Amino acid sequence: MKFLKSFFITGLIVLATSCNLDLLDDPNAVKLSQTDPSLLLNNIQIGMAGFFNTASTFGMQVTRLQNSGGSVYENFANPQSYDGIWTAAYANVLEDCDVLIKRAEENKYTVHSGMARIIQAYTLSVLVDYFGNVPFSDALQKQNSLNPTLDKMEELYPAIIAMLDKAITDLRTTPNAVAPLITDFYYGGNTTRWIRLANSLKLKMYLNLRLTNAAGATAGITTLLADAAGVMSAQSDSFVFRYATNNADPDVRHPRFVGNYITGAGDYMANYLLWQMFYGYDRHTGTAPSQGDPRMRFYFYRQRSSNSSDPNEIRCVAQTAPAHYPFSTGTAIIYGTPGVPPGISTNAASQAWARTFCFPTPIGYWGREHVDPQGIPPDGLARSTWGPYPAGGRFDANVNAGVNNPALGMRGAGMQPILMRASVNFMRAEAALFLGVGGAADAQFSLGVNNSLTDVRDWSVNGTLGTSAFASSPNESATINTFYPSAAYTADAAAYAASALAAYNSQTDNNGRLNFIAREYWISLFGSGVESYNLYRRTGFPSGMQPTVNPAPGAFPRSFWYPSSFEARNSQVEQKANLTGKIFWDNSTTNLDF
Amino acid sequence: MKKFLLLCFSFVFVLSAWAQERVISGKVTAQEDASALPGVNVVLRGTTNGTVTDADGNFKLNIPSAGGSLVFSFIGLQTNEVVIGDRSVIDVALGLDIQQLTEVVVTAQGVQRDKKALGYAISTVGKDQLSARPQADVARILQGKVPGVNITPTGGTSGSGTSINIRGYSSLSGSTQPLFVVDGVPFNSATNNGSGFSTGGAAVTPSRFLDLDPNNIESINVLKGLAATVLYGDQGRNGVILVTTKSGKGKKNAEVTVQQTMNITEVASLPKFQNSWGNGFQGLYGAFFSNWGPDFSEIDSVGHPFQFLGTPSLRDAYPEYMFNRIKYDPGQTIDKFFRKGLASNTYVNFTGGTDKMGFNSSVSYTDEQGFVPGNDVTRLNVSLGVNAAITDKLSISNSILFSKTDVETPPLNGATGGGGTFDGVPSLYGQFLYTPRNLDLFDWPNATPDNRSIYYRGGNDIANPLWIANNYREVNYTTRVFNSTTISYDITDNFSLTYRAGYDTYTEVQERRFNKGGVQGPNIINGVYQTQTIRNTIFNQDFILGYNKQFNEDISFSARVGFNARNDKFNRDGLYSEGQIISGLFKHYNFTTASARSVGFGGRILNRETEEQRMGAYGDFSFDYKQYLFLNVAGRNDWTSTLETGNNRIFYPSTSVSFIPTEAFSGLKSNTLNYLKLRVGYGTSAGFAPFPYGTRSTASLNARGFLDLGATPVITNSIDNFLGNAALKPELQQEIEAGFEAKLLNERIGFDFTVYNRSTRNLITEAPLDPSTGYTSTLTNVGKLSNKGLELGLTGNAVTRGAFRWDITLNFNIVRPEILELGGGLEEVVIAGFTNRGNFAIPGRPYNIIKGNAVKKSPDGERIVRPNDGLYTVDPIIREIGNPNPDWMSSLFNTFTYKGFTLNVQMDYRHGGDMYASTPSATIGRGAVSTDVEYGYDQTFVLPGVLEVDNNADGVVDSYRKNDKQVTAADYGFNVQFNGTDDTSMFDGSFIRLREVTLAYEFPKIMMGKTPFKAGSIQVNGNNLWFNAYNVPKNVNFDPEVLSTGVGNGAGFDYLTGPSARRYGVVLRLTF
Repeated sequence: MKFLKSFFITGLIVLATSCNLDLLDDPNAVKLSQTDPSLLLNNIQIGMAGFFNTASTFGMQVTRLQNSGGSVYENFANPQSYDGIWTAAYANVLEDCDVLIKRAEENKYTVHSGMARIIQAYTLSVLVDYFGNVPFSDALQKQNSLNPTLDKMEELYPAIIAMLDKAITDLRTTPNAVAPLITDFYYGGNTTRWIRLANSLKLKMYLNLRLTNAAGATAGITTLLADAAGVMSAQSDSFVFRYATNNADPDVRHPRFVGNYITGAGDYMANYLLWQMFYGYDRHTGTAPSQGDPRMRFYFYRQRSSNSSDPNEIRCVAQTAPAHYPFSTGTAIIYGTPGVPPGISTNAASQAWARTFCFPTPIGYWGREHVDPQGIPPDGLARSTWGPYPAGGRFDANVNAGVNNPALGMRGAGMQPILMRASVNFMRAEAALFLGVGGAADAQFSLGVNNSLTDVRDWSVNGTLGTSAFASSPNESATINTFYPSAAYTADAAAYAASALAAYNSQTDNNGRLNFIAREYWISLFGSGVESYNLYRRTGFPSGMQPTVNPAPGAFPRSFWYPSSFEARNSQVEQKANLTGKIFWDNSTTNLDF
Repeated sequence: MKKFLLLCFSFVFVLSAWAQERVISGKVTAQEDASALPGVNVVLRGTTNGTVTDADGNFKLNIPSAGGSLVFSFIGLQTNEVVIGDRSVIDVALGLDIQQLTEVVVTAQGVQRDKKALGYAISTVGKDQLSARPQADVARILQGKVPGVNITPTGGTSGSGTSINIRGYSSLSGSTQPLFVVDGVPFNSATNNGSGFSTGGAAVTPSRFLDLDPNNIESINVLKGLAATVLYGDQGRNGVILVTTKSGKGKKNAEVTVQQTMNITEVASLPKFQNSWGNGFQGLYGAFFSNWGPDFSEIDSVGHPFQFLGTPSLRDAYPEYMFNRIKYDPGQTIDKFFRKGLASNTYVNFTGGTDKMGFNSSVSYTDEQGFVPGNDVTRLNVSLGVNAAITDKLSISNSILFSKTDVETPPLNGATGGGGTFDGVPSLYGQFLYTPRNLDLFDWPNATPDNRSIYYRGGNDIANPLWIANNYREVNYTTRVFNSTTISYDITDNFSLTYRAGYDTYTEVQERRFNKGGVQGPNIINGVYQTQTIRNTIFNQDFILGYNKQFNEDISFSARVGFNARNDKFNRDGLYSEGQIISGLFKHYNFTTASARSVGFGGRILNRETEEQRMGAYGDFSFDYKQYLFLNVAGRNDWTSTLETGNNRIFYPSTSVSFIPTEAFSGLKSNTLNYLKLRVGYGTSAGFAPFPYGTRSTASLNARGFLDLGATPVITNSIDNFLGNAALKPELQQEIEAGFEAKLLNERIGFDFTVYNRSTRNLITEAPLDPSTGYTSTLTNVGKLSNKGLELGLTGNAVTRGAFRWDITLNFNIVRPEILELGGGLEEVVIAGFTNRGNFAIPGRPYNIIKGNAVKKSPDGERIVRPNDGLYTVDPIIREIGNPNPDWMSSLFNTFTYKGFTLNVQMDYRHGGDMYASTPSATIGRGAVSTDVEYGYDQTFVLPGVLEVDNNADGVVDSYRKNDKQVTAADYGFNVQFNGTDDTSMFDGSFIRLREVTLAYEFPKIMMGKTPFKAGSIQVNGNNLWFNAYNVPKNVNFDPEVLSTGVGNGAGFDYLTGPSARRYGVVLRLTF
């Protein structure tokens, strides 16, 4: 019995000590109360760049700034394709903004809340422009609403503009003296530039509204232009996220660089853009370095100096152009329906260039036709790829070699051109033309062209875009200054800008002028598909773009599929029947289904 | 077997008597061999007065004055009634009760019970079916041997993980793998995937039951239903695999057994490659991945591929090839890559004991080479099992298992053959099986002098498989100590107390060694070394109070009330380094960057710890009436540390009834119907959160969120995307099962039939959330799923003629797992795989249904062809493309014995079960393997389908017409079969397989008498000797028994993780 007693007692002690059920706090994680507002803001700023990068790819692909696959428009991306940006937007950026703004309001960290509100507004505006009705007032409610209801898109626009106004107010309020220091990835701590950004984002939204609410758009733009801070105009005003060069933990290089400069090119460039930049205003007639648009060597890197003749590398060499493809009328080479698209040469020498199908130029630039679904031949070290602007790649100084080397070019220290000052100029030109606000249209058009030309080279040479707050990137200045010295570039740029302005001025009606504004705006938007998609839907320009290889590509997406992660998990939402549903501000009747 | 069971009983039921008016004593022996029988019930007829024989078979019983008779009964023996008269000593010999067909099985908490008393299905696999097999993995040996248990290897390499599902799936996001219980205590059987399946973690990670030595197992009992497993708590809800190791119980004479196994492991499912055309596309020669080049008769030679390498430093590495031409013929020698791996196992077992104690000690060493160079498994097992009766009342049994298991393999990440592997993590098989037919891998270097991979593509954009095999290694070293100790004490005749403690701990070191010089994966090419050390501990304790009472010879009652505490600790730390300096040296100092995150393999934080605590109080009550009606009622109440107070407790009961009509109604039993048992059981079980800490939201921190150009790390905080749910409650699973067991025709035929319906309500699911909630997932009580199934075991003696005997066993199994509803607005949940191609849970559809992209169809269901290139149009919305659940599965065992010879042949058959299979689609699509109908590259095809007709060019389709667009063979193969849509890669996974053949010869005793040996046998065996997946194009020779998504809840995916293995060898066993 003695044994039995000790048996019991020992056992009970062992059991009792092993029965601790209080193991509910995760020892691996940070408690919500331990988070720091500035560290949250860091994550929000980085998160937004990631969101923009993916969102921008969809816009670039659908507007022929980059190639897209799919064969028909509705397949260029499927509902699952948007899961990434949906999560990035709501779960990463907006939720963290929400937490941060509440915290910042309590403590009067007004710069924190101001920046967060602008990022929140921008992110939400992209969602509305891409998808239409999206959740907001019922979103981010955690357990209180696991199936957030949709807000009407036309109601979200005023809400977003109000957010921007609130952000401006915050940024003009002196923060609490004990507010933690901020790492500002965009403007190095300059709140005036954030206010300019807020005004410029309002401009972008009001301009979208011009088709459906011209009076509101006019009033809004008038007001924002009258604001003390104004809109972006200096180089350092541009809203860009700068990458760096570290390749491991974390890899902070531009995602497009990582995807193309390690084992060879992964993306396909858009043949039409290559063609447009090479032949626009007869730029191709010059000699190196000024062959084509002066920006071309900054946008694209050629791995080959001449076109391939190997059908193993590029299959279309051995194929004839589809029947609905380019033909010539008089001396002009024309895409799609007859009629001379502006900006394309009327010079007889253009005829030397036999066709746009397959190879857009005779000097080794090639990507793919629009919505080409083909498999991938061994051409990773052959096709054209990204240059220094904006992806941080290699400048094309006629050294045409494979890009499977991450030590090339700017080594990935590229940037995301989320909103450039040139874009503001082009938007103001459009507003001036149709709403009569914001100055002279031709002046803004000219400024837009010039600012884009300047910023593209400046970025590639110094990687700072005029802001001393950031260290300069490992840049291509030595190569560029040797191959394409500042003086030569400036002269070429001036000539290009003059041609553009002359072509603009030669137009007799506003639609003709808008076509030029749109064409130059579109070219300047390389890397920024969000604005190019808005532009293309709003204006229907630039016109005469290369058609899809499939003669029946289906309807052009006037908005995108709802993400699968949204539609399948939220009982309030049904998937769209097709992609013809327009965003509320889009009442354009231009047929883009080609 | 019987002796040891009897002895075991004696430890529990040793009784002492105390004086009364009259004492009867005696000894009970076995008729068979006159050995003493302990544990025999001795009851005075018509009273509850009784006792049990002691270890020597002796009993003493006080009875009132004269008369009466004693009833001697014991499981498996004939009950004997003896009139006492005036005798004071009664010795009885009990004979075997053949009619009673008694089989004693181990049930929950180690309780041995008469099988006929069980109201639920239980399956036993004995050591004869487990030991001396050419496999190191006990789960794979079990394949097909237990009806209702579905066992799927993740791949064919030695040491890869194995998924086990018993009676379907109980959860969407929680584990559906069964609980392993070894010698009464939980044994961790996790598969600690080093990363997700798309980053190479699935097919290379062993499941931790690999640490068990099958040779050291006495028996395995599989508890399938909830009625059987309720005492194991929530951990038992997916079934319990009860492993009893050899413990020497009942053995008296010391005995040494030496067993030596020698096996060959070879590749079992290599495609039969075509020899008609070589590298190229559309009939043109070129360094494509594909084999759609010109016919071999058209060109004699081509330039050596090294001439076309795009990178000068690679071209310059081997100038001797610059002007070299190579023959254009089918000179490729993939089969040379594979080896016949040698495997051996040496097993030495010592066993012995006395009346009071027994022991079993074994040492086993396994060294198994896989069929792939670089794939090796070595394992050392040392075990000791002891059981001893310290006093008449106190007994102790203890087993200690030590193991050291080392697994090495080249990386086996998933790939579809699309040119790369998932997430840039390399894989041996990523591009291997469709290596161009004219390229001889072994003829040229696979590495440059500075050890960079060099291969045939101009961009050098795929890695040479030989280089991968030489330079990349996934390593897993595990040391494990497992202990189970049971102390039993008999307080009185009726009461006993048992304390059982189990301590299971292992340290698993996982290393990923990737030399620099590779070509794929932005992080991998510079060389990666990752080390992870996982320490896992289970400390499990049970206190059980047992009560047995024989009221009279008709009614007996037994009860157990117990308390269980289980603590699980998991601790992982590790380091990831990138940027190798000297090739071949794997030490973290030899790398430029080190990180606490697994940067190149999905980015998870390597340092992690979790702890879970469970407590349970349980009771189990059995009533036997006249040995033909049995009732069992049990219940358990659990507390868990993974849920908030208030929600962390659940009670769940079970009950089962067994009724033996052939015993109850004497007229029923005949030579035709020897035995019939009907049973019905209802069981429930709990389910808790699939992982701890799920009730509270958290944030994360990254000390290196960004690194700007000034090399200043930027710290970030972010709100985690997992939303904690404080209101989470335990889920309740319920199952009802019914069945019958029968013996017919003088026991020549036996049936064991079960049907069941299991359902889970308030299923705890890691529910994906619409990210617009601000979060992407949470744990919630949503959904309802059910598993309906049928299990049939049929045994028969086909022929007995003289010394020849032929026995047949057939196992047949149907499971229908179905999602009944998903709550919370969810339309679907991705169970495994990718969001655009994976296993989905969709209400009203079978569990794991496969969705992926599909060819767009017209309203009439015709496939729509694109007008420009004649290929299929893709539907933008992903569709259901297959059901991976087999319609039914079956195993057939034929056993032939003649004198000392025994031949066992196991055939397995799986009917149905769709697979998304990359091996057939990539090898056919890349032209490496012909479909069943051979076609040349110059042949053209018109795809079956329709073209859209738009009469008035308004963008609206008016009608459809039959497709008449021609496409080339390359287009057909590459763009339809392979690169088209996911639905074209779906294949039926049916197969017939010669799973196992063993031919054993037991040396005759006469022959052995002249040797120092007591017994000896020699055995020849083979595993997976032949299979035919008859609905997959035969040249591909694809083995559908693969699970590229790894051990988990997914099914039906092959992502080129490689062929399966065939094993055969010889075993010599000697006992002395």
